[in-house]
Amino acid sequence: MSDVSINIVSQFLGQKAFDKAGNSANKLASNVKRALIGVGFEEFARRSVNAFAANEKEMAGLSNTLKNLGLEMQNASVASYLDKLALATGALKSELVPAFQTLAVTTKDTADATTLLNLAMDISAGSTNSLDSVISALSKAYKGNVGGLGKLNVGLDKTILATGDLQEIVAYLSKTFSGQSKTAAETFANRVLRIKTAVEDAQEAFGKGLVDSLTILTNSESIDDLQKKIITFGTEAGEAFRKLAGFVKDNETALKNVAAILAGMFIGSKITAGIYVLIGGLEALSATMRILRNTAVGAYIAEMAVLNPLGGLAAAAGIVATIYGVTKSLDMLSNKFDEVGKKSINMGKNPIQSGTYLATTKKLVNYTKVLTAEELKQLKAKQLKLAIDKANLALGKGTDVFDLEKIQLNAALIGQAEALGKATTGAQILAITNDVQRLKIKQDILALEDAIASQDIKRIESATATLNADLKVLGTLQSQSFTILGIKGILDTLKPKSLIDQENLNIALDKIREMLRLLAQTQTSVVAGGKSTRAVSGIPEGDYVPPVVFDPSTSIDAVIEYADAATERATAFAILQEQENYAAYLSLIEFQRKLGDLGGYSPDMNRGGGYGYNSGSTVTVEIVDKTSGLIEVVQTAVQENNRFGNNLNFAGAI
Amino acid sequence: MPTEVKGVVELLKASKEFAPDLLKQYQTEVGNALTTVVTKARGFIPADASLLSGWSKPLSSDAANYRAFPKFNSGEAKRKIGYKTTPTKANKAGWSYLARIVNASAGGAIYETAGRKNKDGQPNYKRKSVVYRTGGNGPGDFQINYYEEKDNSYRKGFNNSLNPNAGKQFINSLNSTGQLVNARPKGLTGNPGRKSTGRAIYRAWAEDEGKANAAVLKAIETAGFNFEKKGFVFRGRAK
Repeated sequence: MSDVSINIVSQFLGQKAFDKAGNSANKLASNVKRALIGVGFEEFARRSVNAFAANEKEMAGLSNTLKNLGLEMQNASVASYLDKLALATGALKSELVPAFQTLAVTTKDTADATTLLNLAMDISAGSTNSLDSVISALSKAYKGNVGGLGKLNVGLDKTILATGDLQEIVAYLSKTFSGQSKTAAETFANRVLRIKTAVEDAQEAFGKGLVDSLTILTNSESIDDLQKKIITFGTEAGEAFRKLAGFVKDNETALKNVAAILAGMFIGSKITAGIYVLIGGLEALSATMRILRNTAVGAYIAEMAVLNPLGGLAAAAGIVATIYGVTKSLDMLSNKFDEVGKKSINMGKNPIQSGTYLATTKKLVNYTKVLTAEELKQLKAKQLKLAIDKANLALGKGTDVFDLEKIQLNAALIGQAEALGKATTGAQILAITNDVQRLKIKQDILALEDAIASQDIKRIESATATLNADLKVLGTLQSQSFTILGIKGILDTLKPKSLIDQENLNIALDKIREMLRLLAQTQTSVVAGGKSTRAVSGIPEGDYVPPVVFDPSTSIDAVIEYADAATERATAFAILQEQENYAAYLSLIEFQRKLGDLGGYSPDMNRGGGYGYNSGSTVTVEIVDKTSGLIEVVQTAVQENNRFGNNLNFAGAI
Repeated sequence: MPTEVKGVVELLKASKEFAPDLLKQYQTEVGNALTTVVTKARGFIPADASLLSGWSKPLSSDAANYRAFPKFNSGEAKRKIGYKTTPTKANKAGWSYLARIVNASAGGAIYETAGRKNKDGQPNYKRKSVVYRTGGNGPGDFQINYYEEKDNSYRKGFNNSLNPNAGKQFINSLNSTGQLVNARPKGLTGNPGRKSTGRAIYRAWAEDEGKANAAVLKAIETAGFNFEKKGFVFRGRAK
């Protein structure tokens, strides 16, 4: 009960809870993976293609609009802007694209449309209006009809609206709702939306990858061509399947390696680190992987991880599961190819005879070699990156503490101190030492920058260690400075006070004497001439310590001596009384021992708290009816005897 | 490359190492915010004489081999109401508290919380009566009354006094000097639990109406802002 407290601000730090969350995430990932391997994968692929198609349709519409407005050169930058806006705010692209299209048509300028869209996002986030209604009102206002803006209830005065000056209105709205969408994007609900947007984007990218893959794999030049091929699948499917399966067979190891890299990255949860590995791995395999557009997927995960680690994680989870599912499917396809190969091309021949065994083995060995060399290269790059990161961290610290102006100022102070002669206080010496240390840190920083330029890991590590050591020294010096300032502050508060001087002492002594005098009068009235009486204290008459006479002339020593003597005497009597009590107690014990079974002797019977004291026993006995039945029994017996003639009145009778 | 910190605990650790002046400023601002509540809470602690006289009397003997019921001392109770600005270690659920108001004395804590669980004091044991028919349903029968033993032989949580109304009398005496007040902000849904109910610090917190809380959050924001002004990055703004 001794730590009753109100906890005010809290932060979640828990490792245990985080581990639990991690386990749950792993379970979720495995469930997703399991779902995708089965029928779920087909559903995911279908949705991905649909999402890609919907996005493609919207973007094509926007692109066409921009082209009609003569702004086709801005097409790529607008698409990029909308992607980033969707990721940053969590808004759906299906909302943003039409909104931008409306504004572009109204303003006929992508810069104005961008400004108005940003403003609309802020207004929508900072009020209860939907993005559509704000876009509609802003479009109308751009054309001169500002009435719609008034209905939005965004704090616009009628006077401002009456002017019809769009610039003034926009300036007012920008000032009022500045940063609203950014703030809203940081809320939990919007973070979830942003993750959702990222996953949807990943789905679109995956869908695009599938469509592109099919187009390339079937040697189609366009979607139309692919459609034709699908329509004539009945006749050409056999050949197309053979080509697809052949490609899979040729690139089986490469595909599996990429899946392994991605899976490793996800399971290790080291997304940022994993991305470097992934990109390196993908570059090495780019010749084949470009066909499946997995480089785009990798870059996408990287972007997600930078913008939002959680979004990156979600995207990576989905894609890894997908690729895992694809790999499984590829295995099946590969097996089918083997069967088809055996039956059609190499009918009646074993792999060695047909030459496929050697070719496959060679390819496998080559890929393994490439991967091993690549892994070593990546490891080295990772070590260098780690060293550079650590160094940059130290540089960050160094940059912060190295303040040129501060040093110049201190240098001027030192100069002044020297002009005056020598440093006279510890604080001045400490300031000079601080500056020298700062200059040393500057030297360390330069040395570290050189080391980074040389890319020598050992040198970088050594220079980083030196810089960190010097930073620590500076930190210690600064804390000393702080301590000295603190001590100075304390000293300033300790100003001398004239509490103890001769005059005060004399006054105090006079007061004591006056008190003693008054006390003496009181005591005199009680002890009646210094004699105790037996009736009050039980002490024989005349047996007392003669008290001192309390008057102003009595010395302090005499009073103390009297007090000591009286105390000693009282203590002696107390001891005597205790001894008498103990002797009485022993005699009581002895008496009880003689009682034997009558009272039930116990060594502890005279100890403890007595009746009602609870020492662990749990039964309290309370006799309510104290009347004994013995009287009635005897009375009944006498009456019965009398009735039957057994007179009890005579001696000797029953 | 700026040095990056995450969360307020990390911000405070980083401030301690790289910007002790900011940490000092943060602690001062939080301290100022919480001092108002602490001062008010100390004002709610009654004088010794206002409570049952036996509670503030010193123990008659120090030879007891158990921890006696803590005594109340008004001065000590006031002195030990204070605040802390250092983050706590994470609890089992993983939460760390960045600032706290504490009522640290045993007597003060009892004054703070007594009666919030059982408004009439701890319950008595269930009384049981057994009648012994030695007189054949007539004179001679006698009855024994006793308190039924619970599963646990330890009597914690039950009234151990011979006076069955002891707890009620004790709490009535405390209530005469100050009522139990729930510090939970008004307007929240759900049932306010008894854990945030008290007579001193919780009452002061309730009467402060969230001003100190807002000031603490503001101090964190300011610390983060100043930290970033120094070229660092603080990503864990208070929400």
